[in-house]
Amino acid sequence: MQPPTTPIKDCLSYSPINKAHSIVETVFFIQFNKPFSDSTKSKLIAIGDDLKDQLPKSNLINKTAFKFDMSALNNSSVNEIEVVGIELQKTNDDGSLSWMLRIAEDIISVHCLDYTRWDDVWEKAKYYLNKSREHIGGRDNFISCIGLRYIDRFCYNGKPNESNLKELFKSNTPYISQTAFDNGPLWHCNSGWFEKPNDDIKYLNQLNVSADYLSIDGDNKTLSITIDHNISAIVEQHDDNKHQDLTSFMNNLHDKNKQLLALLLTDKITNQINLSLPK
Amino acid sequence: MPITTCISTQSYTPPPSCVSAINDTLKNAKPLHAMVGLATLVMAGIEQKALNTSVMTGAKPETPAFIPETQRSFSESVERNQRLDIDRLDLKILARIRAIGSYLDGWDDNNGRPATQQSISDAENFMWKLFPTVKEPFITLASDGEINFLWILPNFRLDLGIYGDGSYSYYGKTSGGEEFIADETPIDENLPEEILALITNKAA
Repeated sequence: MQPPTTPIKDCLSYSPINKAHSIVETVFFIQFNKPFSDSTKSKLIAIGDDLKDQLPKSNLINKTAFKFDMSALNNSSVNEIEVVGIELQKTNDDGSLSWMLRIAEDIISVHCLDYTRWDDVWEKAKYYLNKSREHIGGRDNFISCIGLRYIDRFCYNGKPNESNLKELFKSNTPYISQTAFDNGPLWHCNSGWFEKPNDDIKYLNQLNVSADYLSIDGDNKTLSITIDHNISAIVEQHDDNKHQDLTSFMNNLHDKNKQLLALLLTDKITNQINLSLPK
Repeated sequence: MPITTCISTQSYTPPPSCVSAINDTLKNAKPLHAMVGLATLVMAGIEQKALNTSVMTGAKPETPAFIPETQRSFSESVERNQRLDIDRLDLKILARIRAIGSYLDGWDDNNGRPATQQSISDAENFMWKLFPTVKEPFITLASDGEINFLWILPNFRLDLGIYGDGSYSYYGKTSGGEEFIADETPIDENLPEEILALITNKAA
């Protein structure tokens, strides 16, 4: 074993916001073919008791329905409040959100704002999703969509006007408009497309990339680049057995996100976040 | 840690389903009613901002809202420009290992070899098993590309190297003179309990 040496500091002009990684939020979600029935909704709302140790804070989600009767002589309007779901949260000491399970209408989503590594984070998210699915009885609802959303953020370590986007993104990336490279530090570029549109499962990609100024911890304005990638596997044929194993779906979506990032970010940046591509 | 958004090229635009619902209300209502309806829709939007767009507007999935298929809304983000505590030990160690992964060939101006992708992954996996109780090591890259972890503790010093070939080696010595040596230990094999007791807070 050789004695350790001190590596020369290698300063990156853009760095991941959390240093170890750039992920500010990950959303794991499953959507069903129709809104939950009242009885399913009641069962789902009761999940707060099951998860009170992991997600102690609970809020009901209310929907305000707006009714406006044009035909009535006195033109009455009515607001009705209906409970449509529940949010269970875990917060940090400073009150910021750490994890959240949200069940509303026809979607169950798990939001992770404390990302560490995929295996650990997915294990926890899977537990929350499966716990919720236990409360959906019968064959009333089929999974129509399984999705994964990653929000990554990078900060520029310097004067925004001197930033060079080519230090973050590959200059020939198909996902960013050339205009973004040529016209100053502020821009946004939003797109959406289907991958394999003729297969049983269609993959919808929604990619919104933007450059904003953020004030981090009250310090000076920092140029930050946000990559918001939502990938949804849209299931055309309802065979619920096929979708019991969420892990293989999510691993697949996770790999697709990594493949997209590899085409977007420079090799230096992908090394910095240890973006190991599937073999 | 809260971060405030200052400037963006994206001014606030209501989601398309919200716009079309408001437009429908405006088209069909008398002026006064339209204002009431619009105000209520906007209020409902504020109250329900955390829900997806179909919930925000009360629109059912079959409502013709002229949303392009590729613009469907599935989930709302809940992050409010926050970031994690970068001084947290697990993130700090991951960041250090990953920073080492970005050193290029010749990083020490003396033909220093870079760490391989495998050694970075092995180092991460190895350390991850020791969280959350592990004490903070010095983490460096050796000129042969080995990732080195060095614990200098009051009663123990441990020098551990990960090569990226599926193995690790170490040499440790307590202040009492007891030595621990191992070469080419499989990376998925845990350290002996005696060493774990010294480099983690479990023993405290």
